[in-house]
Amino acid sequence: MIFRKKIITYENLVLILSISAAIAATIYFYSRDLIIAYGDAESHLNIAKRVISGLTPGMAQLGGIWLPLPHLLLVPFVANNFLWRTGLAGSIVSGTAFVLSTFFLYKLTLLLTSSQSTAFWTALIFLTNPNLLYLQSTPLTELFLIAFFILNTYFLSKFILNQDEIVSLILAAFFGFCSTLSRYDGWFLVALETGLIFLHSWWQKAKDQRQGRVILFATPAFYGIILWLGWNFLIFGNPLYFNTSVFSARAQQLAWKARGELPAYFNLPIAFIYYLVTVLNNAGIIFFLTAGLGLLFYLFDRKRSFSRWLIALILLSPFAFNVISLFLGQSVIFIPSLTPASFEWRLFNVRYGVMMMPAVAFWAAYFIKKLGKLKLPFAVSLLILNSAAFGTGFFRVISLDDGVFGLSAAKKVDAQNWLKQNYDGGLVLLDDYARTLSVIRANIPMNRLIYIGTKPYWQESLIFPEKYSRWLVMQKGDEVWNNLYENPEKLARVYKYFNKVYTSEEILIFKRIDH
Amino acid sequence: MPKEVSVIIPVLNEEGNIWSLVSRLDLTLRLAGLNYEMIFVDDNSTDQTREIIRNLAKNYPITLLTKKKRRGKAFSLLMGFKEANYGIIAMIDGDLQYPPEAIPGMLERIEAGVDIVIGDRPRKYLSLQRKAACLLYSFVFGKLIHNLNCDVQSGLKVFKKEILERFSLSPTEWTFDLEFLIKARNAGYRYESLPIEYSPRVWGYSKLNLLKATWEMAKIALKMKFFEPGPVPFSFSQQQQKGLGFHYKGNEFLSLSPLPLTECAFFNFNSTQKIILMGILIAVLSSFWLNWHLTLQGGIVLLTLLYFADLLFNFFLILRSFLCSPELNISTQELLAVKNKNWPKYTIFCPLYKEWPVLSQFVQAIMALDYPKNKLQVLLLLEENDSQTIAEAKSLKLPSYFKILIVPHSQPKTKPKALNFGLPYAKGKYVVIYDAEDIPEPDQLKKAILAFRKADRRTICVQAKLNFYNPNQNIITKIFTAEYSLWFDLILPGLQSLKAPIPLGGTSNHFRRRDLKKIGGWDPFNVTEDCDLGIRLAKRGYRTAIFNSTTFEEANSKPLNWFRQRSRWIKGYIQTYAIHMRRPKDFHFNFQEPDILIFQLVVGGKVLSMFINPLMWLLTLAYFVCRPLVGPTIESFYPPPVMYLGTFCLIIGNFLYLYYYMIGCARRNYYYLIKYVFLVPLYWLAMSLAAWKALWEIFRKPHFWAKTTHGFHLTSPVCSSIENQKSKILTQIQS
Repeated sequence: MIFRKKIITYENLVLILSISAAIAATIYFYSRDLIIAYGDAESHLNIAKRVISGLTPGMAQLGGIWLPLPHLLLVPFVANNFLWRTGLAGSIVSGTAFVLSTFFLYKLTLLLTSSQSTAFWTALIFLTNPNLLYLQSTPLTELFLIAFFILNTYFLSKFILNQDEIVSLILAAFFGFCSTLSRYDGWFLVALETGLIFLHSWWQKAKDQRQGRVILFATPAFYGIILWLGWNFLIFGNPLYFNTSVFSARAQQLAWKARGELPAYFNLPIAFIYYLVTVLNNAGIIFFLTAGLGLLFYLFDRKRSFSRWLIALILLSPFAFNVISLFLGQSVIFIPSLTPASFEWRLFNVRYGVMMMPAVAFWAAYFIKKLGKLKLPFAVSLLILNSAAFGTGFFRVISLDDGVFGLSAAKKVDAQNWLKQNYDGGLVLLDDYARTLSVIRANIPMNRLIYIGTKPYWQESLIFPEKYSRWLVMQKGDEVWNNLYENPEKLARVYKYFNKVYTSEEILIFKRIDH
Repeated sequence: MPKEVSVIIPVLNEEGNIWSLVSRLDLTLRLAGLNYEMIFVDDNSTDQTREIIRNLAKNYPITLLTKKKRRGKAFSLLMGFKEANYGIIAMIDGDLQYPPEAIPGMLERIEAGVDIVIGDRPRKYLSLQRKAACLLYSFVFGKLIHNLNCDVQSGLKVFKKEILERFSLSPTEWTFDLEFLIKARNAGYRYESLPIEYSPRVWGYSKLNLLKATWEMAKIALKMKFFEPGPVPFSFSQQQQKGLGFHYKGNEFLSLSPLPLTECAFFNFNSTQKIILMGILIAVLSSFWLNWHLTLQGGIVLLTLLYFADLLFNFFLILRSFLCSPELNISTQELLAVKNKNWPKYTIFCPLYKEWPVLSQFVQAIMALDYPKNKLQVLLLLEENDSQTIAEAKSLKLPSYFKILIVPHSQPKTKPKALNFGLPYAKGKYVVIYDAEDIPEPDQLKKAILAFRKADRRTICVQAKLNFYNPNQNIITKIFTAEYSLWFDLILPGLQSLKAPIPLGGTSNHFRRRDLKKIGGWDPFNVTEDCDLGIRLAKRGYRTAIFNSTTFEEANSKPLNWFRQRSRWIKGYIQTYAIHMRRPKDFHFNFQEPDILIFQLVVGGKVLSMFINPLMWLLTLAYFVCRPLVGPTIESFYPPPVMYLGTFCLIIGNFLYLYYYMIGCARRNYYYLIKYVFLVPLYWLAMSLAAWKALWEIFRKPHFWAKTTHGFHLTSPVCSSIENQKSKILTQIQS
């Protein structure tokens, strides 16, 4: 394709296409009420909302488990109730991250291949991936990390390739810092990169500069981690609260392990295969295989160099991180093609596979580039095939499936519809961590919610429920249930001051008796 | 003995004393071989006083002045002084109580170097009333309040007429003497008392109204105590002899600068500033007394906003220094394109004081300059009392383009005063200042000239970057190097990109000589004359540019030496801030060049933060360590938005400030220094301590120049590696 430089450049086209794709996908998923399909999606929105509009607003509402940056970025948008309740607040931020990711993936490819067309194909493969298109319309944090990861990789690659050395290194460190505050994948990323910078300087025989470069990078890159540990210590009294608390992912994983449903735990080959298949399902086999070939070409290219291999390591780091996480039991993935049928759930956390999409897109385009004159027809055919496969349902949009009928799906209970129709004001006591029901769908204002993060309301309400609350919502096994319903004395109080107004198998709702 | 004297005699109804007075004066003065004139000033006598004087004027050199306006002895004297033709004035009352015969003796004292001789009356012939008055005037008003050890109200005084030309007098009827003596002493004149015989009045009556005189004296004594006379510029002859200067409180100051005192750091604060500061202090104290919590809260809000503004500003500066690359870049090709003969004359100033250890190093560095030596003029400015450096300079075989100038010993004893002394001797079209320990890059002078040609017309100063040749000497030099790298490689170029006022470096600032003269040279009283000069030139609409050359200096390696130097710098910044805030509207201001705002942050805010930082750190530490005890109280001082802003400044701001040092090191390719940047918080603490010392010095000894000792690198255990470093630098530069 020939573009008139003055009007349309490859860069402008990438921007236009990514923005259009983001908007179109968001409209599509919004119209099908899929933006807050994930339970986690609502949780992210609610965390941000509580910071500004909770019963006890403030930064402490960010909590200590999920990293804070995505929530902070959501705050300006969730201030608007419509954007909050529809999840579009997340679409705005994730969508922006998606556009940035696409653009800088283009630039990264251009940097590494000096080929505008290859860079364009990379961008196109990336932005047409349906799993990415879905996730970018949601408040989930994957796109945040992907954006920071790509930005970090781009600038670090510039540094490795000796371009604008100081500025590149500083910007790489800055985006590494951002990634460490977005997802824990970022921690692994910056640790790996610190080692790579050391290696790079060693290889360059830049002995005098080695230490300084490492410190120049690592200081801001690790600062996010230090801040998070400090935050955990300040708020919860334990710097490792995010990993040791009962709400942590590790605690969840231990529960799976206890049930014998942690297949990759300390099993490296299984962990490897699980994640590989997850990536395959997210990328689609067409581009997955193309990327595999591209990776081989890249590694054994006649232009290969130590620098290029270092950059390849960075692009592959999400793979390493996820495999290690699975291996150590820090995360779990259930995917139908691998998870035993005996497991209660067979679809969970498959969206983690999109973290490899930048690498898949890059190497797929890299392979296409190698085809010379055939690249255009090949690329177009692959894109059409891939899109058709996903479009017709031949390939599942697995990240969407997880949010619709996987374990990640938000519960849709009748109780929230009832509450939406009958809520008439007052404070609501609810164990939001247990996701008893959706605060968004129940239409409860956030500043009317008493949950575990609203000291002293929560603690006192579990002893004297009548003190603040007008509504009690409890689900079998959640904290409200365990404290009030299972305790005869407190149950007596409940019945003294409240009427039961809703009953279901799992959920009870009480309303304060008005005198 | 002086040969001429004008005798001023104020009279009021003294017809019975005139004839005797005139004949005694004539006899005494003729016998002493003096040319004289007698000037009688009649204060509207109602007797024959005027007629007698007119008669006597036919035979004696007498002038009679009749007052038409204000009555009173003081005004009579002033009128008479104005008409005096001779250089020495003798004033004597017309009541014949003072002996005219004492005048020659008093004139001899004038010849001996005394400027004012006061006839000291014995008290025995004074009435009780007059004795009491004498005690009051001389002891209470004179000695106690103004420390004048003399008979203040004595009616017989002999003094040099030039004294009256130095200052103006605005006495009341009876208060000439006190005001005159105070102002004369302030103007540096010496006075002496000479005992005289004092006779009782034979004819007439005293016109002194004791009560009125006492009241006037008291008023003037107190007024002059609270509104002390200001500095008195040199007389024309003094200027011819010594140069520009003034006297103040009896001390002589040689400024050698045409800068008015309103633009100098002689006084730290002018009266308006003192009133404002006092007002602020009173307001704060009152507010504290009324509601201490709200006051503290308000203070914290203000400080937090200031910190945040400073944080944003510094970030913006660093960003701009990277994005805009504003410094003037002169390439080797551009240098080679200019033929040697076309380079203009260049003057290098090097003020030296107790710098003999590094003098030979300096000479070598200058000789290594790549500049036609026949176009170079190097002025070594040595202090008169620095015999060791003078001896060292004379012992060196200095090239012909070096010249030693001895700066006469005078106050203030400062580097800028020495520079002002040297400026009239400069012949170069361009001038630059180097310190004794400096090693400039050899092509710096050529680059400076080409930088001027590249710069816009407003740029009258080009500043080379400063750094150190001994960064590895110890921890202090390492961190100091990091600091300089940040300042000269990032901050100043960032300021340049905004066309903002730039506080100049202490050395390596290049000017066209005519421009330097136009802006008044250096403030001799400012201990950071470089900072002041940079701001002053910006206020006058000029600009400074940084160019791509470096001068290497010796980083201070001894803690106490460093501390003294740093407190001097901070003191200078305080002085500079105070001076330039006297007339803030003189700052150039528009939205694109908000000089005054930038000045607040770069100079004022920088200094303020050094005082405040330790307190804020203490508060933060107390909050975390003693949270159960003091946490809620501290939190109550921070309204929620301010709490978040403050937290942001704490965790992001402090991090960024630290990280900037790292970036500065990287920019200079000093990667090996980066790890030492983690010690910078201790460095900041030391700077804060130095700031408090500076504050103390501002009030106690504002012009004291704490001399920085150099040459430690020569005796350092790592001396050889420093020499290697210096050689490496020179080799790199030359290649």
